[in-house]
Amino acid sequence: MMGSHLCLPKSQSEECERRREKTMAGLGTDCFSALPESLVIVEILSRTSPRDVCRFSAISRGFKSVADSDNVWDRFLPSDHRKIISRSVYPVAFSTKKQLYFLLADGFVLLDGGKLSFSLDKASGKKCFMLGARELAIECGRFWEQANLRAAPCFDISGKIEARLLSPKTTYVVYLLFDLGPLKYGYKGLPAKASVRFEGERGDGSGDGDGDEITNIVSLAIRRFSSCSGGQFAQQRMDKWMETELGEFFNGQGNTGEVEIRLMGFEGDYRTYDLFVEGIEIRPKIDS
Amino acid sequence: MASSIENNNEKLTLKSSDGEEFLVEKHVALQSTLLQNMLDSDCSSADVIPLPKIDARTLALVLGYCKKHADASSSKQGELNSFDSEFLKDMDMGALFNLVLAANFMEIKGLLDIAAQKIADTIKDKPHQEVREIFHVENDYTPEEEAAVREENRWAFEGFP
Repeated sequence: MMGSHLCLPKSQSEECERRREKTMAGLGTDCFSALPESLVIVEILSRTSPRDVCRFSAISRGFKSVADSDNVWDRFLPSDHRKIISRSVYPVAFSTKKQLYFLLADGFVLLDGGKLSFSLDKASGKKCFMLGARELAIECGRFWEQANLRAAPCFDISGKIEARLLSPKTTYVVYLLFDLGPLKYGYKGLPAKASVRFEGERGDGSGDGDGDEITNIVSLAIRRFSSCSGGQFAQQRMDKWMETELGEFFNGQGNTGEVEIRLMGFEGDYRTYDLFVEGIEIRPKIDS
Repeated sequence: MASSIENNNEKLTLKSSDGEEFLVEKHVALQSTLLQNMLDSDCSSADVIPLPKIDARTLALVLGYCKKHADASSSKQGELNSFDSEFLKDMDMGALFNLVLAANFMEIKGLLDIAAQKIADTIKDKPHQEVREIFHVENDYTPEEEAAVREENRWAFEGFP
């Protein structure tokens, strides 16, 4: 057992040789991306945020080559992004992972024949979905098209999404995207009952779903006076739609099952109004 | 730890880039996937394993981490977590950087995670000029080039100098 015996696996010993030839003074040089230091920068940058990484590309050329690399952006994209994108209605064209990230964060792709749209929350890279009106079950009311209804007190809109599609360990907020037509600022109140519940098995073994349905009273009207307080009012969005929060839920690790979302008319409100439903949006809760 | 009982007394020698040798118990070395793969192949006759690029100071730290994690039972996760945060406390950027490099090379996932995360937490939400200082990186952009990079990533500079 005398003497020294080099016994690294072949690829590793080559790696060693390569590493030995490099010097630590290489930060910021042209061959930056070939240095083992760049592997370290990848490890560090991928633990910051997309916004940080974009900003840090202004540090030096070497930093930019790592900050723009697929190695970093692949970690910001959801691990199942390839699988999800394969369901896209239209081909998704991109040449770098960073490009794909912003394609999904600034826009969206339509999946499953257009019933579902997929995008990313720009700041966190978490997955967002919208169930299109065609994917929702809409009952009662008087239909124009499937998505537009003259809301009677008994309308009932519901939709479902598979929990495993959503980002794990994330609190999601669910919104109804809708419009009320030309009189949208004239309504007061317009209460409705909303529920968001998980139906299935939790990955952490803490139980099977939410049990009793928790109902939130939400409003489909925009709050008209800033002095009014309480209640969940609708908001006008930057696009043409209005949105109102239906509820939130925490998607744990490894949950299997469905999140069921439902919105019902409120007994006691006998007004009828035109409700144009665009869909139900599920997006991560932003900590403020 | 039952699986390693029969090999408990086996030791191997690691040699740092600056020539210092470290005698390590096998179950401690197994925290490193690189060393584990070497031991799994027919490499068990190796008596000195050279680790170029990892200096003695860094290797001592790495092995301290490995020993703690190898000796603790899985039920002591809380204790390990506080060991981990204490372990990295007051460590300067150079030492952390060397640790990430070593953990990456030796394939020690847990150490790579905590050391890289510690650096990431230090630079998060900081202006890029400040991060340039922290990493001692020379700005090799012309002013025009830097302006172009900023324009390309305008979203990321909102609220930053």
